[in-house]
Amino acid sequence: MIREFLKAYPYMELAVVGQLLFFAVFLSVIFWIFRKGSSQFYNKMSHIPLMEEDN
Amino acid sequence: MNSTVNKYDFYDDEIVKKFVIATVCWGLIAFLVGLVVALQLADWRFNFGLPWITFGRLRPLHTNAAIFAFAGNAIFAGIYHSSQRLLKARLSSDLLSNLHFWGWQLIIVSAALTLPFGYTTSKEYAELEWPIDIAITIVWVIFAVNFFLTIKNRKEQHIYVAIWFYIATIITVAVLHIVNSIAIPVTFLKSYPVYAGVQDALVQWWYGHNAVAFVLTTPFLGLMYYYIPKAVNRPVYSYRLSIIHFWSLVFIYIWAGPHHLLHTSLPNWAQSLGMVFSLMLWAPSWGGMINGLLTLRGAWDKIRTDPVVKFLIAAVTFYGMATFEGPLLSIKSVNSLAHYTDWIIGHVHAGALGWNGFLTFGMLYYLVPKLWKTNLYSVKLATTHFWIGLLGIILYIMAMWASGITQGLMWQAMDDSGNLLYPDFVETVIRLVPLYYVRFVGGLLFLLGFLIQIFNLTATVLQANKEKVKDPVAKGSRIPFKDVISESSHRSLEGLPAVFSTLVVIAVLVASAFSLIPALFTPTKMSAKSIIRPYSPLELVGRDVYIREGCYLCHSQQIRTMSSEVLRYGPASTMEESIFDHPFQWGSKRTGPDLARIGKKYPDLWHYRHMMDPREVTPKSLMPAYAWLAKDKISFDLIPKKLRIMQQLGVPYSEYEIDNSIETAQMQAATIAKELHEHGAPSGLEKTEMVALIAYLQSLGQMSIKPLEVK
Repeated sequence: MIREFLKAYPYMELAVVGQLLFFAVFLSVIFWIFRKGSSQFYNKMSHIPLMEEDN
Repeated sequence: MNSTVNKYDFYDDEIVKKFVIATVCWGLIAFLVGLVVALQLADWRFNFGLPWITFGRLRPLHTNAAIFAFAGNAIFAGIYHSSQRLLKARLSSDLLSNLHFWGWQLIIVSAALTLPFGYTTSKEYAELEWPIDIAITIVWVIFAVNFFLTIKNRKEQHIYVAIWFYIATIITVAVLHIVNSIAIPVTFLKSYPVYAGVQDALVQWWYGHNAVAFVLTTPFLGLMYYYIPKAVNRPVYSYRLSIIHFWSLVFIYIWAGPHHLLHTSLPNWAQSLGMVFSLMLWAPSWGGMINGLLTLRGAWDKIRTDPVVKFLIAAVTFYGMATFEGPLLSIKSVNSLAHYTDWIIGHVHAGALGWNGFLTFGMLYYLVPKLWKTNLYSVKLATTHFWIGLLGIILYIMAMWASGITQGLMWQAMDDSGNLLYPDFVETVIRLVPLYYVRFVGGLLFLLGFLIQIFNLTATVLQANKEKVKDPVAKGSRIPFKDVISESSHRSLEGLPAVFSTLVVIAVLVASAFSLIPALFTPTKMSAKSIIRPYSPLELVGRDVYIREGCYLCHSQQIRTMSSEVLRYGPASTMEESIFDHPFQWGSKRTGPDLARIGKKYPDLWHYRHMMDPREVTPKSLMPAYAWLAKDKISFDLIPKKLRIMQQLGVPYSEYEIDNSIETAQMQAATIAKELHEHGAPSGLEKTEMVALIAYLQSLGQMSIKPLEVK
């Protein structure tokens, strides 16, 4: 049944919805990483590998 | 040692050492087998007429050894070393760690013991047969449990980006391996996949592409995000960029698989989808590369002095080049030239030798002195290794570019009247032989460099103090879970592995579901059976011989929708034509011509002589001889079981056909053998695999019951 449904379905809307979804995810990630107070947090995070010397 | 000392106060570096040693040993074997297959392509005599070292049997061994034994062990060494330090916790269980290690080595040994003997599924990079597939699943689960328990026990609240890449690797590889390997066993070492034809092609290349993504890319990126900052003692250039890098890869990679099937009978829109997503990968890949390279800001001088940095930075540069080339090759027009040629082999080795190889070498030069508490034996030797290896890679890639583009252009070249300029396939092959020797020299240099490394690392270990010093687990500051939530909700995601892993699973599963949707657009076996007949019992046996000998590694069975292909091989392949093919045999490389319509093109005797000595009918052919096929006997008693399983998978065999399959096969074999004998071949071939393979080859392209519909 899915097969028949998909065969008859024109994809234009789906393509647009897909594109918007991907763009939305991308934008959310951008907003997420630039959220308020994140600079200090990410700075701390990026130093995790360097916290212990000589190991 | 004082018995009151808790072992969980120290990192478990013994397991890391084990994986390091395994990486070096298997790397040596992978590169050696690579050299042998390179020689075999340059001169067929290097096949030595022995079944178990013929190219078709050794190439899967080379790829599996390089990907799962060399790169696999390197990943495990790096993940176990870096994760303990990033999480500030000892690996959760020594038992699980050791089961993981020995289980994985056992899998590699079983691969080495089955592939040369022709036990293969013929699905590229998933050639191992079903019992080994089950073992892989078990060992992978052991690895996952060990890893996630370590995360649970961590004393560092926050989860560094490298760990994210590791988590994505563990989850996605599990999904890929299980879905692609589903098969029905015929015997202990033979199975048929549940997918057929275009569906199998789609699943296989969804797997194949993402094996590259989640075995050879994401774990190595995790290693990059740990070892480059460590090597230059600077934090990663932009932590934000690493987050974009991660989520973009996870969201986009899975969709790109169909770029392996451009211009085939896969529905066109699915091909375009694969191409577009491949192009999108340009951005995150280069974002990641830039992030890795710029981590050196203010420490560029280390490239001159520190071999670890040399290797790591060259590796990241190769990552950039390979991920530039990949999307480029996914553009349909470029792909029409490059597909099935050595260009793809060059591309793969830019990634494998340059990115995975050099990153592993750099990591080893960093790890071995650290693990054995000493200094590197010789920086000079490491630098020598770097330059020799780099020269080797460049020779290799250049030779394959030249070879691939030459052959691609020759296949398409037409004369003034629109006929093929090189209608004889072998003409396009003999041109490449000098380049195959250049490739061999490139590989030899790469191996030579690695031998220098082995010497250097062994000398390093030997000069180390025998007294074992363990690294204590660093003091952590993990905030209890409830406080994290109250502290700041928007900071918690990056510290919550469960939530995070779920998001990765959703992204991967949704993308996988969508990228496998085109499978629903393929004809069903029910609708195809009025157009195409299934294989006769003897043809099916011959097909298994074809798979066993790895014929698909040099011969495709898919005529692309391009005029030069149609001129050379006949009408483009249709979806119906491979609908009963469990597994599909479309292939990915043409060292020899396409065979989709080889049936009835030559008489049986031609095939017989061609198998006994290819040069007798095609002078200058590179193909190995398969003389043992005229001796090896067919297992007729297995035929009913094979047909029965095919019937269960939907291939329209009737009960009558299955019940009489042995007699039918024997009759067809006798007919072919009789005719061969009448034309001068020796008598007594009717029980041999030779007649089965000839029966199969003569059926290719000849299965239509009625003319195919022209759409």
